[in-house]
Amino acid sequence: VTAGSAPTVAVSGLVHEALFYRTTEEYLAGVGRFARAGLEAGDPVLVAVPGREKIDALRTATAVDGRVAFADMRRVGRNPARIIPFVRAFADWQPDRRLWFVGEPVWPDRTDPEYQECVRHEALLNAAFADAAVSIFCPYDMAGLDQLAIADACRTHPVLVDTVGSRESPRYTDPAVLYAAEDRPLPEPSGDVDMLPYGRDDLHLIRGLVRYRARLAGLSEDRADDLLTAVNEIATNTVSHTGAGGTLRIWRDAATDRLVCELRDGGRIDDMLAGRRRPDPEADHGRGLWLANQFCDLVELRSNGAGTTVRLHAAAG
Amino acid sequence: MSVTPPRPGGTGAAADDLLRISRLPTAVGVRVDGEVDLSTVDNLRRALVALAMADNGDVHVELSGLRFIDLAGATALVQFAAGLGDGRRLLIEHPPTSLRRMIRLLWPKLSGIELSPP
Repeated sequence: VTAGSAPTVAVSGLVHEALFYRTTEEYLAGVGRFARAGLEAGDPVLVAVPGREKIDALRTATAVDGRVAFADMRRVGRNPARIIPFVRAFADWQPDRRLWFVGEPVWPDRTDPEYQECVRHEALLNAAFADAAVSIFCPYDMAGLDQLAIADACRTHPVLVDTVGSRESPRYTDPAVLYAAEDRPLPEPSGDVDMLPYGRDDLHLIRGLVRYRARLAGLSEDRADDLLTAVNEIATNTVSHTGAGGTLRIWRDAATDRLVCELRDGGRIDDMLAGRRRPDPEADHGRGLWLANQFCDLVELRSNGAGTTVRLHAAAG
Repeated sequence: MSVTPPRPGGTGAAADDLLRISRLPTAVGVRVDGEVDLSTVDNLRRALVALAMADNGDVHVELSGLRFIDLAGATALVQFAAGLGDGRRLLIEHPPTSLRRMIRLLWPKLSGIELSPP
């Protein structure tokens, strides 16, 4: 494959490529080529990149305004766990066509916890759309991102694209391995951490503590209610599904200026895509984590034989 | 001397401290005060069922005194509205923002339920 060739080979199933770019020209050329290939095939094209500036530049460069749907990834992908259901909804809108999706979830000022969730999101795309007629193209800013981000992109993307051409990633890793995240444990909080063990009759105590800490952190009433609702649903899952209690911890993370609520229990969530599927609204299961993903700025979920940890983040102030 | 704080929402009668449901004096419906969660949602369900059987016409639920409602509580309201039938509506007065957000996210195409503006 040579540089500049359009990925027009007929394919079935998922295509998931990382674009490594250094300059605006390389960015516009790479994304433009991908978008045009989708349009030429008569398929829907969705572009979610961070910030107005990039969206406007791509609109101009691709000159296909009106036929390509644009979204600001800083908004739709603020919590990276919202991206898969967002793409799924778009794919379902025209189920008989291939969806061409440009998704740029990683940018230089992502916080560390956000970044780790982006890596998980990129890995889980491979599981979520394994057999779907979806082509995903993920630009990575080689000039702005560190080596770790580039190395991770090589683990999460089966195919890598740069100015030289495209090639299979030799370090592509099974999403289940990245989901397990054994090599990257959640960092222990520092500073003032409140802790409250809870059982079936203690949900109102949890809410009292979250309300109190939310007020201290300066969360608006609506933001506090969203966080409270999310915490309550996760704690309800604990007492409903594990037959035992759990432990709540709350702290303010100074590095990201967020209030973090952590719920730990002895249950296990084996479904890698838990919280990333739009639930049947009447179903008993699968709604709490999805709602938490909609209501919180970030959700970290880690589950293994030792139990399940869910951290819910809300921007303070 | 230490004082043990009351623990509303606990087992048995204590759940009544967390949630109070009373009939509206001037309309068909109930006023819900307190918090709807795993320990109290059945009380809300029972009150709604009683309303649906006892009366015809629209049903009002007044929520200005509601401090919290969880997803199961939101679901109870939605399912109640869906089951009213005969063009009857559930009119929710003063819903908390979180209830509004849950309903909009999970039941975007819902009919038969009206939430008063904020």
